[in-house]
Amino acid sequence: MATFPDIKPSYGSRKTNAPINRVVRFADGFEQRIVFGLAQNQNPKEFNFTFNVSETDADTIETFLDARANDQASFDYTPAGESSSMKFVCDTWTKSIPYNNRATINATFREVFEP
Amino acid sequence: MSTAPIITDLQKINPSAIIELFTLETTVALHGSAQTYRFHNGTNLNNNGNIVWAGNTYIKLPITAEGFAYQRGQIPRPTLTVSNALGTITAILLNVNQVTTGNDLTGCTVTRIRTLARYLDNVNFPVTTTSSTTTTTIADPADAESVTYTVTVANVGGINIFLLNGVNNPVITMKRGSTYIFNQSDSSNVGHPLRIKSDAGGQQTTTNAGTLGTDATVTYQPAYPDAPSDLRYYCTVHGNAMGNTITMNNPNTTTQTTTTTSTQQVNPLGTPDPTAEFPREIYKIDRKSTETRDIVEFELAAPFDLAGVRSPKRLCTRDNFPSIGTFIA
Repeated sequence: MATFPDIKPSYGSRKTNAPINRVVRFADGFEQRIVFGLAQNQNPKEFNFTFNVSETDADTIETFLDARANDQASFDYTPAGESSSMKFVCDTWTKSIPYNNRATINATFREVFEP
Repeated sequence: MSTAPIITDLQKINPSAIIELFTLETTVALHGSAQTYRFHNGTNLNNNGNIVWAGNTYIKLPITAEGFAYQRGQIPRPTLTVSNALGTITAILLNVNQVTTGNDLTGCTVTRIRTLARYLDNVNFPVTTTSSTTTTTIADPADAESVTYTVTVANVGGINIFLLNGVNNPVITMKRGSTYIFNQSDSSNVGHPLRIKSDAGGQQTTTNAGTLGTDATVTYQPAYPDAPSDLRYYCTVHGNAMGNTITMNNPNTTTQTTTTTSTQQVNPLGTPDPTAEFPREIYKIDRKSTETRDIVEFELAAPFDLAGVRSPKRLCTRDNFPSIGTFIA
């Protein structure tokens, strides 16, 4: 199990929660909700990170993400402010070069539940 | 199988989550071997392994079934959609097609089992470590002593007696948890092995080394707190008269704390119950409708709704239709 390189993203990362549940609600407003499956696994997180880093660090990140794209494995990462590491996949990321020797990587990490 | 616990649980304000499990059973006649494949569309909470219920492991695999609803009295024909991203189902299909050409798993029994999270086995949940401490009282090692007596034998008043450090068979004092060494290397000890015994409990265990009269030592370590109080030292050949009694004292004590840790897995939602489940939905695979790189889709049908399976006309028994009431002869 690979661990994401120890490179910190810039402030301003965004965490999106979208719990999976079933809601039954008809006209007058009362609704019932239930979770199918084990509750802890029905709340995957999604993180948006921006890495403002040197070209060297950007290469490290890209090499890592390329390797994951090749083996389709998830990786461990502990986002800032989270108590424990989670397993993520990164579906898309973009890299831009604002000026010489600096790079900005925008990546979206999606949590998965795997061994 | 029992729905009673489910009924109780569903009447609660906040019932436990529903866990949907699938089994796929092949038969010897059609598919070459009788196998049961078990699938669940999710992972457990112990390092995201496979869900275990009633001792059976349900392999994690994206799988869904839809269309169990009854509409206008028709027996439903649900569809079962299974991920084929890693070729798992293609492998099973190729396997059975070697036995019956073009079978594509038709005639397989698909069972949808639904239970509640509270009835899942304990192994699905994280390992918790509990530690318990026990406090025991032991002899204080700082209070232990190690005493060596030099033993000689002399004839006093017509009988042979032991002399400890030159004193005629004195009453000696011992502390439990300490060590006492009787050195019988003096040549006068030949033929007079010294031992410790309890008047009620018999000879005590001592560590005996060397040759009597040359380099023999007898080491006695009275145990704390069990060593008896009615001890004496004596000669195993000539009896109690050669020795004398031992006064046994207790040493200062200290407390010792032992921490034992144990790991266990417990279902925090309730008590595992391998029988608690909703009524099972049992269907046969009627045909494989789609097989792509991503998914395989099967059409399911009730056992007597299968193509090629006909029930005789007017066959209508209480076995098949329990609700129709009593036949009048």
